[in-house]
Amino acid sequence: MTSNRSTVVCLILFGLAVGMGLVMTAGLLIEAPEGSSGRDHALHSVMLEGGDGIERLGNVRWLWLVFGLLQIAFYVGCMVLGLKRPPKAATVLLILFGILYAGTFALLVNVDQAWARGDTQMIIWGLPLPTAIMMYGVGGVPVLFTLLYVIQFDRWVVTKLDLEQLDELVRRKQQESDA
Amino acid sequence: MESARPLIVLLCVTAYMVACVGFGLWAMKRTKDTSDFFMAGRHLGAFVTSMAVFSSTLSGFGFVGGPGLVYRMGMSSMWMVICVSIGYALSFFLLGKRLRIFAEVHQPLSLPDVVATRYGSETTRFLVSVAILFGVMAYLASQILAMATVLQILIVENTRLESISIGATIVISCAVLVFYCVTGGIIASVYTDVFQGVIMIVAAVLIFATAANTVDGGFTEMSRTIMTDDPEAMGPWGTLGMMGCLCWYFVFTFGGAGQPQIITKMMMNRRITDARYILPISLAGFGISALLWLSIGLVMRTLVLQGEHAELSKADDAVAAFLQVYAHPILAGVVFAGLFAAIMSTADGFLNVGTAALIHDIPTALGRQAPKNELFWARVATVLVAVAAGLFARYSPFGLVALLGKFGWGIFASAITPTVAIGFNWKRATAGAASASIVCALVVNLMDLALRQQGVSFPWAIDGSALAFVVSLIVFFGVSLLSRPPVLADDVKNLIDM
Repeated sequence: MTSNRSTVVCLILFGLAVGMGLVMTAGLLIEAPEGSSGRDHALHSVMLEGGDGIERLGNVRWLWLVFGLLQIAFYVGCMVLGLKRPPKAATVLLILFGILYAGTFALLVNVDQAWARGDTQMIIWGLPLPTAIMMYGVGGVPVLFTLLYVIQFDRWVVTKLDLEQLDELVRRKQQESDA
Repeated sequence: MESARPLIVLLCVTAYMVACVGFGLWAMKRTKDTSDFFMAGRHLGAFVTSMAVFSSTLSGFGFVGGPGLVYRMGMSSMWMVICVSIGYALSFFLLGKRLRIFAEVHQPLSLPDVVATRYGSETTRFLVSVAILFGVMAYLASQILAMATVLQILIVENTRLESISIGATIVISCAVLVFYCVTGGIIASVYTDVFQGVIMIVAAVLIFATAANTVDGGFTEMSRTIMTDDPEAMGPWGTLGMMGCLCWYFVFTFGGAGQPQIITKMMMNRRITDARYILPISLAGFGISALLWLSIGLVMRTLVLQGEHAELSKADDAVAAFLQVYAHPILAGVVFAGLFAAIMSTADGFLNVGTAALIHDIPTALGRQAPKNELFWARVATVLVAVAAGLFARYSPFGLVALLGKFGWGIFASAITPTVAIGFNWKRATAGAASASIVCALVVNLMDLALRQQGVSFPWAIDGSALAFVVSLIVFFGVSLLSRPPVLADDVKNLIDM
């Protein structure tokens, strides 16, 4: 049962990895505009500058958005794979947090586009709005997974049954080596 | 106070180095066999393991190369920092329990040991060991180079010596590192990690406060100054662009589960249930320490743009320039010690896994018996690995801390993560798939390196390591699914199901 579940999750992960590969392949085939990944700063030789945010991303912003969303789905899939015999609530909560995480990332891409057009100049806690969403949102939301791990550790990660089975395995291994 | 700055800085750094040597001598008494030397006898408490995990993650690449990257590229490298919140969680969900229970039952001495047990394949053990040696050479060289660079600046700025060669500072750096690793093995390494971790946290908090007060208006004014010059530099993708940042995010997030210097420590804690505490403590430690990465890079870029500071000759000088001019002398001393702490705490982990690969794993994979006095030979091998990495640091054509470090991380990520992070959670994964994915990862990484040497880079800043990682994952899943299910030993099956 556990084996079948793991294989299903791995099939999904395989699909997501192939998806990321396809996006990268598309990226290799689409011609990038001059300076799309930075160019020398006009005044300071050690620094780079980014130039026009709309121009350098061209029409491929959505493609990189897909790449980011595939990554997030991959991470959530991996966490589901890491839990054996989880209660249904565990998978549901991981997926819900994953959707929140993906939503935050999508919001970042959307706000960044508006910011690059000059629609907003808001600064939050010392950072421009899209950068603040990146640091506090995309960086902060995954802390929920850590909280879940800590709070549900006894029930989802290392259960009493796990510890009993492990003791049994260690005892058996010891007997084998003694023999 | 200002006139005594050179003396204070040198005293702080010297006191730190002496303390490291002291840890080495103390740990030597506790190191009785190879299990102690490589695995700390699996007796580490949750706090010690947590500090060892986070300080092994935040290396000289983070403390020296990180602020340099912010100075050079704006916010791009922040993706390597924020990835930790998901990266640590991912590593613990996948491996926190799994590696520790394998270690409990099979008593491995190294990561390749436990890989060989999982797959029942000496070929896979051999390939993992080779990947580790490749990655160790690049990453350890980057740490030694970072340490030598800081030491060189420190000596020239704070003593009467007008110049000292980088070769000489590489020798000094290697000597201290080798001393406490050879004498005390991993026990010295993890206990110095605790000491180093505390220094890093204190240093980062103080630097963040100092940086905020260096520019009138604090971080808001820094943002405005940088945006006035180039809005994209302060945007979420920095100057690198969206795809480049997302590639870094992938390699540094999921790739964390393949870093041997980090995941090996998940096998060293005393109790399996300690993982519950190790994850949040490590995450908090990294989060606080990374404040230094962001703050120094931003403040130095701002000061140069405002014309308040002369332009830096190279980006890696950002930290040293800030400490020499803007930090209080005592703070500068503590942070310089913190810099060495960050570098050495990662480098010692690499020395340990590299030594294990050389003295234990590769001979075992080739069917050789372990030498009679394995502990003695482990110490000899530690010296050899450090000398080789020192030579690589001195004579490698790359020369940049960040480039060497990223290459090392990328090799570990793409070659080891699928085999370990996925393979230990999926019984269907085969030895053939693991071996094929490792070979593919090494080939793509080396091809990327060769192309970069020729001045060829991918469009949209697509990262070669990320490409290697995705290829390696596809090969791993694909070959496993196309192969017949492997026949596993009963205890291995039970451990994966647990």
